[in-house]
Amino acid sequence: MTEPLIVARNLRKEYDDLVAVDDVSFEVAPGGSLGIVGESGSGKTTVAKMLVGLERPTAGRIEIAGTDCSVPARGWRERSRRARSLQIVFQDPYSSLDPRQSVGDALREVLVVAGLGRDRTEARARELVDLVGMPERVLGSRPSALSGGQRQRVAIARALATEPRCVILDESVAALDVSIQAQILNLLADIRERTGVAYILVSHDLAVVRHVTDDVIVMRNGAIVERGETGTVLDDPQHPYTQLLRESVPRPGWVPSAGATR
Amino acid sequence: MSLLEVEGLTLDVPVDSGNGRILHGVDLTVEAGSAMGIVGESGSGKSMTVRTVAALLPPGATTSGTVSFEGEQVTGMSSDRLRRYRSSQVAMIFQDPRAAINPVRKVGNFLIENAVTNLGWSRSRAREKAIEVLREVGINDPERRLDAFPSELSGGLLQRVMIASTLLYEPQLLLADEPTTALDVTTQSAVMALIDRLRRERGMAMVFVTHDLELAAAVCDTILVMYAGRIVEKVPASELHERSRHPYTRALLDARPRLDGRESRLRAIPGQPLSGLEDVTGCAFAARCPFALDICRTDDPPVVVVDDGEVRCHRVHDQLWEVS
Repeated sequence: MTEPLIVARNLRKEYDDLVAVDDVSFEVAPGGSLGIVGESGSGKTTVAKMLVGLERPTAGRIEIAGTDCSVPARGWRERSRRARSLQIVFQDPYSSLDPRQSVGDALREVLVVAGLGRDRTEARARELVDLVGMPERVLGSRPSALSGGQRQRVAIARALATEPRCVILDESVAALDVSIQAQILNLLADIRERTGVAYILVSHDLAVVRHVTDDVIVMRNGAIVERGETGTVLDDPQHPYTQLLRESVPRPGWVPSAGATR
Repeated sequence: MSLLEVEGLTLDVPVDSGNGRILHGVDLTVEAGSAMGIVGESGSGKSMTVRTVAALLPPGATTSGTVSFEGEQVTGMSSDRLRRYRSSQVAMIFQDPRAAINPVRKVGNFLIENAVTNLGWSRSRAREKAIEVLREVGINDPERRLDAFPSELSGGLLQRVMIASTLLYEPQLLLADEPTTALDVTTQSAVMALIDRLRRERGMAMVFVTHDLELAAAVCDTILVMYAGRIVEKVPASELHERSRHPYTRALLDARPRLDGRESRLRAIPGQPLSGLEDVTGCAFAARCPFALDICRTDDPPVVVVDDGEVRCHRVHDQLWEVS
């Protein structure tokens, strides 16, 4: 069996009295795709933040491509190495780009830090906008001239700039219109096929999770309540909470049900 | 006479270059006790349509056409009359209850303010009724919640408070603008079940604005699909999947990933949604439509009545797909 690309072991995160993430373990294979499903307060975003180093686990271990990433990177070289392993795309394309920076500069900045020479940087920037299905002229545009879907393409291009082995998609298509969401989901599938990148999709949208991921973990109140192959979990959920999530999705013939509200 | 009749409604708002039109002749009718869903993407004009019905318009906006409620022109109402209209006949709930409820005043104040100020109730009567409606929307320990600040309640609870506030005075028409979009799916289900039950018990009509076609179909009688400030299709909710005919409606239904299976590729709609502000010749959807003909790019399609619905498409009779 191939070495897993990402290993999370018994992750725990506490904020004062609150346990946000409790004993969470999972693996992602190279080129794999894992969904992390849950509602607000489930701890799914905290897991993503620990993986990219924005939060430090209270306990547990994170290994990315064989390196221990449980503690913050020390020094430029180590940070840069981790950046080439793992990148993240956030939900809101309106706040994740610097409004004063052109698309080209946003990409060049990442490429220069990654150590590409000037010639190589220009060529790679053009490759990247092409990879996300945009014309070269957007390199000169500022985010304000772009639609939400176009901005999210830029955010994806920037995440892919250093050829990371895994990209975390943190609700990355949730804010997009249905017709644009479908375009971005197709784009993500194409990129995975072409580059062999792995995805970790953090989402509350079960249909999107089904479309993008091979395996899934379902989180509630910081803990994993169910895990398995995505199709199996969604077609035949075992845990009552997964069943409730599944039942709550509007679909033909659906009737909203009172259930419990927190 | 219908409860709400909107005819030929246009809405112009100030933009950088003068005035921009965001609604281009919207017609709709809501009967007492019925529920109408308005669906569409960003910029389609769905929110502005219900805001115009509530006479809640951005500064400098101008309208033409008519909005009449029980036969009375909403656009011609005096400010006193408008206050009574909004405080006793229609109610509006918004996507983000945190933005709509004053954060520095207690939930109790928010609930009874309208009844005391506009309807002339005594504070004690308003308080009693507030406790009653909080209980009705499923909030435990309502007396204690009255003394809570909005920040102490979850989003789902706060949206219930918002709904409770509309029940204090039993309006004839509820205008709901993406009321559950900011909520978790399980909470959305509970809140929609609540709205649905209360609406049916009281014979209250509803205009429900959402981007979620499945959700609209589940709780409404009729669906209007809007695109670029125009209504492109009206279809009974029960026939949305089987008998809708506009290429945009079909494309929206097809573009969503499925929950019960996985396709290798989604049928995405090329291009991006058009807002009403953009200049359009012919059909607004023509540029993205796989079935567009020359006439679609030159002539505005007329409204065609088919079965129980209405479609604005030149190719409505062309059997573009099987309609059962």
